[in-house]
This record gives sequence, C-alpha cells and structure tokens, in this order.
Amino acid sequence: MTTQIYYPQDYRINYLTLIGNNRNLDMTNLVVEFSYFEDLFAFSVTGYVILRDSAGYTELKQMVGDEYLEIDFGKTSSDDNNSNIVGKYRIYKIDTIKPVGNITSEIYKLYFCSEELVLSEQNKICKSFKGKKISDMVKFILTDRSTSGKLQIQSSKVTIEDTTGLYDFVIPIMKPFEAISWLSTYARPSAFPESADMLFYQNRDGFFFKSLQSMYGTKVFAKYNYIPKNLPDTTIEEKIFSILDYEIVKPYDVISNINTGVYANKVITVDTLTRRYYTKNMNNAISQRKKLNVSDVLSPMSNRLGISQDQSYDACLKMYVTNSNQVDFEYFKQRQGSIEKDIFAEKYVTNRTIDISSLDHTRIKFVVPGNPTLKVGTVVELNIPKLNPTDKTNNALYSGKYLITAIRHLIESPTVYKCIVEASKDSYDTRLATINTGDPSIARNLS
Amino acid sequence: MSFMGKDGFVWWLGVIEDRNDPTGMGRYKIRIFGWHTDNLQELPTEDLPWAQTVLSLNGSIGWSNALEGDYVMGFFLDGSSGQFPVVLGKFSGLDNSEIKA
Repeated sequence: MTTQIYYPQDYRINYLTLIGNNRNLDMTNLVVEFSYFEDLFAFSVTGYVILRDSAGYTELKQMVGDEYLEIDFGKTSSDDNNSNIVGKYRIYKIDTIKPVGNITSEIYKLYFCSEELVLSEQNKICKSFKGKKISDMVKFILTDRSTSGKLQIQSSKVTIEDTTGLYDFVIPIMKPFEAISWLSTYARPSAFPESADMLFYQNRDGFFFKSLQSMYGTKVFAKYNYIPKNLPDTTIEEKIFSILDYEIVKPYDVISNINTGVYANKVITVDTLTRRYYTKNMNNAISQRKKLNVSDVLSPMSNRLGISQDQSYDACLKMYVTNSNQVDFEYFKQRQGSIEKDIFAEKYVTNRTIDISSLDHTRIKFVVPGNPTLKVGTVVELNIPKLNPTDKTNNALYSGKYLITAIRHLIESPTVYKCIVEASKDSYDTRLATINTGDPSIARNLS
Repeated sequence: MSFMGKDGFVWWLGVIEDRNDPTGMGRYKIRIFGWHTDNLQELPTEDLPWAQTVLSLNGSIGWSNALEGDYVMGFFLDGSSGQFPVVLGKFSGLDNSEIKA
C-alpha cells in the first residue's frame, strides 16, 4: 500500500467539498476537526466536520439543509487511491454556530450521513414475500430499481450473504432500513444454519448484510502491538501498527452476561393454531457457533448450589409465538395455502440471543495511527503485553483476535490522523493455565 | 419483542378481505390499517396472513358472523413484528350498501 511513510499519522485530504445547488465550497482549509464514524450496529456511516469560517459561508452558500459533502482522504504516503475513504454524503444538520475572535469568524459543526439513510427515513415499505429467502428480500429492498424501489442502491455497493430457509413475510409498513434490521432477526446464514447472527451495516466499502460467523472466519486484517513509546529502534512500520492507547472497556460483567444470555438462555414458544407449546434450552456447549479465539469464556466452576454458568437457562427466558412443525400436520398438508411457512422461532430466538450477546463478552477501545482501510466488520489481532516487562508473552486475557464493532477516523490538526476503535471478542486467545490456590473450592482448570 | 405479553399489547384496526379459511377454523385475511398498504399490487389479499379469532366463552362457536368489508379490531401475538394477527371482535356500523344509498 505504501511507497514511503513520512509519519504514522500523516494524511491527505483530496476533497472535502460542500456541494449545493450551484454553490460548491472547498472546505479543506476551513477544517478544524473531521470525524468519520462506522458502527456495526448502525445502518449508516455518519460523521461531522468542524469548520472555522471567517467568510460567513452559511449565509453566502445558503446552507439550508440540501447540501452534500464529497469526501476523499487517505494517507499522504499512499499511492493506492483505492485505500482512500471516498464518498458523497448528505449533510443533515448544522450544530450550534458560535462567533469567535470579536465576530471575525465563527465555528460550527456540519453533520453528515449516507444519502441512503435520509432516503430510508423519507420512505416506507410494505410488501409481501412468499416463499423467499431473507437474503433475497434484503436484496430487493436495497437494490430494486423499479419505480417503487425505495433506495435503488447500485448492486456493486451491496454485499449480501446468502441465508437459509424460505419464508412468507408481510413487511408491515416500515422504513426500508428498519425492515432490513427486522428481517435480520429471523435470518440464519446458509453457511452456518445453526446461527442467527445476521447484521446490517455500512462501512467505507458499502452496505453489508452479513453474519458474525462469516466475519469471524475472515483472515486477520491487521496486527497491532502495544509497545513502549519513544524507543529509539522502533521502525516506522512498527509505529504504524502500534496501539497508541487502549482501555479495556468491559473486561467481563457476569450479571450482564447472565441477563443477556451469554452463558445460557431458554425460549418458550406457543402455537395457538395447533395448541402446542415448545421449550428450548441453549447454551455455549450446545451452540455450534465458531469463536474468534481458541478458548471459551465459560468457567467450569459451579455456584454453591451446584449449577454451572451454562446451566442457568432460566436466567434469560424469552417467550414467542411459533408456527413450528405445522407443515407436518396432515390436516394442513391436505389444505394448500392454509398456513404460512415456518419462522423457526425456536432456532432464531435462542441462537441469536447467544450469538449477539457473546460478541460483547470483552470489549476494548484503542487508538492507532490513522488508517483509512480500517473498517467495521473486520478482524484485528491485538497484542497487549503483560505488565511484567521481563515477560515478553502477551496478556492471555486481553490479547487475541477482536472484531471491530465501531471506528472513528479522526483528523484534528495538520499532523494528527488517528483511528479510535471499539472492538469486541467472545473468547480468550490462550487456553488459560490451571490456577490452583490449594483450596479445592476455588481451584479451576480452564484448559 | 422478547417476551410475549410483557412487551406491550400491540392492537390494530382492520378490514376483512377474505373469510374462506381452507382449514375451516374461521380465520380471516384482514388488511390492517397502517400496517398493510392498500396497494393491491404490493400486497394482494391472498398474501395477507391468516388471522385467528378469539372466541367468547359463552357457548357460541359463531366464527362465521363477520363478513368481507367488516371492520374489526385485534392484536398481534408477535407484537410489533406484525406477522400473527388475532381478531378480537368486529365493529357495528353501516355496511357499504347502506353508505351508497
């Protein structure tokens, strides 16, 4: 990617142009701060630009809410334009305008998001799908180019993972992005039919409808090391992939994990048509999901009543309506069109509960030198050293593979471009060693 | 929704479009106002989900006493997902022929 690195946080803004109705404005020289956000659990890229304006452009350029922002920025040292973050976004809000310097200039913040988010907010969709895959429904909502298409996004900007199962759904009048998010709760990836972890998000490359399992399976995008600062023999490459700062935001939280179903959950489903009900238990051992790292987060220790973490099914109890197994009833088989297709409530509820909640078992926030290719939905490997400087091995609990769940590309001065990253993991990188305190009641072996 | 009955009672008003339930269980196809478009191309009657009825316990089995065009009220078993409608009852009111007259 790089020909010559000048400085780990170097950057170059090729375009930062406000586009209005015949009133374009190059804002490159007005920028005080620029932020570009991606979030795995949000529908759209968002961001803001703080400007210092001594010409009164809000009035001169008649900024009234119909402007766009064209962005193209990347590394100074990069000769690969594909690595740049490039896009045209919709400015949707101007924050408080403050005069500074005896009213010789003013500072204000322009907020932007994808145009598709605004389109989604402006429209509603209501459509029936009979016997369709959820991935096909999502593709239709995003890319339908007919006159009734609500978003009409180019297919090249959309990546949709195939899902399993055929469904009869009527999308009840909803915003298109809301409809996709709603569909994602039912969806199971065809490559991992025992999971229910589809997410809908946007990053620098476009819109994605993708499973956590397939994200976990991608190769490590970058390896970052936390190294002592100002060492004389640190190379520029080492600095580029160094962690400037980090914070373990959520080392673990047992009460939260119990309630969100990280360890175990249960669903009771009721079928009012066939007058049956079903109960399904799920835990980490039953779940066939892949993990980011090698070792489970479960402790084999039991509580003083003899119940282990993954046996506490009732801690996260859900109740849903179901139509499971209706197709097997002879009565309905003989009456075509009398029932809708199975929604697989027992599968999607229990699996989604554990798949989504497990991701957030451990969460870290870290800062690295700006890298425009870093994006949500990718796996990074973090090497966090032990506190003991003589021990060169990594911290067993907090090192390892993480999935980037949110990222902020921040430019805040002519020399500072950094990425503030939030990443999560569902497992430990190293099989934990036996810790035997001599007291058998608290001895544990996680290997 | 995560717990049926604890996450709110989502009720609705709709109009019956089909009462020919192939199962003979007295279900209806109902176009629900604000949830289902009135555009028949986007959502034809045949694609509407079957809505079960909640019957009174007074000994009546009268599930055929509502007709196409009747306005009804009900709720969704699956809350705001809106795929499992249930009818609670119908509204008294003028029928279409009386309105035209």
